[in-house]
Amino acid sequence: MIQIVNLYKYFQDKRILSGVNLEIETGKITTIVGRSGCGKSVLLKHIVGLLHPDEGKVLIEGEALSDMTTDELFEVRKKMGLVFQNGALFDSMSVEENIGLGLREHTKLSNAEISNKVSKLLEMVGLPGIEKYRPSELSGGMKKRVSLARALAMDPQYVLYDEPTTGLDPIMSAIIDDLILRLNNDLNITSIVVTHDMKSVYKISDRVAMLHYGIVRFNGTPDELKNTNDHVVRQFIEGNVEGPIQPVLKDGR
Amino acid sequence: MPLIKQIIIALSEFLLLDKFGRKVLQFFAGLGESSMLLYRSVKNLRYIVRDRYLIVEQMSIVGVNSIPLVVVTASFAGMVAAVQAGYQLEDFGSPSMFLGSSTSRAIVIELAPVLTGLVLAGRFGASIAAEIGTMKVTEQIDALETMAIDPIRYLATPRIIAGIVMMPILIIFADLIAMSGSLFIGYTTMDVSPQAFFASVEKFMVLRDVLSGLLKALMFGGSTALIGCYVGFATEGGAEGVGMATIRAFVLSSAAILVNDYIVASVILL
Ligand SMILES: Nc1ncnc2c1ncn2[C@@H]1O[C@H](COP(=O)(O)OP(=O)(O)O)[C@@H](O)[C@H]1O
Ligand SMILES: [Mg+2]
Repeated sequence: MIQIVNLYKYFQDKRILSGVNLEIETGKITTIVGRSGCGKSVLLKHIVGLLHPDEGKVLIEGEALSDMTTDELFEVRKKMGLVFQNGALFDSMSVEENIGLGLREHTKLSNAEISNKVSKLLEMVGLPGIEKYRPSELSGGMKKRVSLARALAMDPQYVLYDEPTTGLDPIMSAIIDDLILRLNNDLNITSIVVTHDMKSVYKISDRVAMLHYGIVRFNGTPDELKNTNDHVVRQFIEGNVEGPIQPVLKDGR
Repeated sequence: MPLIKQIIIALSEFLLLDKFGRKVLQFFAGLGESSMLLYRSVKNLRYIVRDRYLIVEQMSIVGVNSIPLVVVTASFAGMVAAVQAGYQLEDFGSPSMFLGSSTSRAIVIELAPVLTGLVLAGRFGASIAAEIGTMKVTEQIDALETMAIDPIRYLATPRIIAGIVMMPILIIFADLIAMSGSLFIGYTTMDVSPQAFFASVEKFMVLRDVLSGLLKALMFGGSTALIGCYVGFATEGGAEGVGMATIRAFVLSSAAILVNDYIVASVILL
């Protein structure tokens, strides 16, 4: 279980997160929705310890990230995969080297075993045979899927997806949604999915959290989301122009 | 009126001082942080066997990419040294007795390490900063961290080792090329025979000259790579930030070369 407890984060004087509380249940798919720039990526980076809270803490299986030594933090990270919003592929490496890096660094697998596993992962994300490509030769959607393959390479228990379907065509989005569901069902991977895509929210979520002005404004099941009376949440999920949410985000409140 | 003027002057002086003070503070903060980076890179030396491929890769990048630069820089430096020495030796009669030693000592102690060092600072300090800076702003450094790979071990340590190891090798190479350049000028314009040239080198050059040049090379290589890494990791703000980082790395590593040069020179020659 991942617990986010009363998390505050400021950049310079701008408050991005102002007391986020959220529990991510093991073996479930939790989606996080919210407007662009509301701090979803920032929240994900706190969960893997890339950013440090100004107040509050993140607990992984009961242990606070902030209390860990670097080695302990690295051990926790080996159990996690993060799919970056823009892929964050290493552009000095081929696709195969990108996906295989974790295996090369942390396991004793032979090169043949690694390339075998890389091929399987690429097939899984619908990109067989692109091992030798460079990231610069890939489209945005392909990069994202290679990033997903890279995140899955170490057989993580937790996978964090930062907008995995944004920028993909509807069919590819559906394939990725199915993949997220399958990984969750077959391998019992705990998933956190940041997304704007309400269709996939309803399709994949066990729980949905909406981040709004630095706090969790809504937290519940997809059914509860559909039936919520909160005007702010309603406006967001229905995508209405008129409503309590102003078109321009004011600074983090 | 004069009072207002005085206030404005006092205020601007205060602001200037404040800005200067901030710069000084920033400088020491940077010095502290880069020492920290150096310390953490050195700590990773225990993985040196495991990471040998990374290190060798960086060494070959530094080596191969430098050769043309070194050849051009060193041969012209050597030729200029000969022209200059020939001009100054005119007052003493025959240049053949002293040309070899005067050019070679200048070359191994100062010209080759400093000139080559400056050119390579532009080449490597800047390219390391650009590479790591790009990785920083495109979240590739974050990606390494999430994959439980220490970016300092993976990126900084191999580059710093490569700088420290390769720079002296390149400088020996530069020494030889620059001396050939001097000999070429001496032979073609001053009638200095190769025999006379090398006899002079043998007679007057001491090991300490060569060693101080190599010590400089080692420090230049290390400081250039360290500054490139430090500036790279500190990069922020997209492509524009990467551009700024590149310039910063070049300026800082060039300055570091001149400072290190002075330090080594005054310590060795004491
Ligand atoms: N490293 C950073 N430094 C300063 N501001 C940042 C940084 N990272 C994110 N922000 C700011 O935090 C806010 C939330 O960003 P982000 O989490 O990326 O939004 P999103 O919900 O779209 O993923 C944005 O206003 C962004 O400008
Ligand atoms: Mg985001």
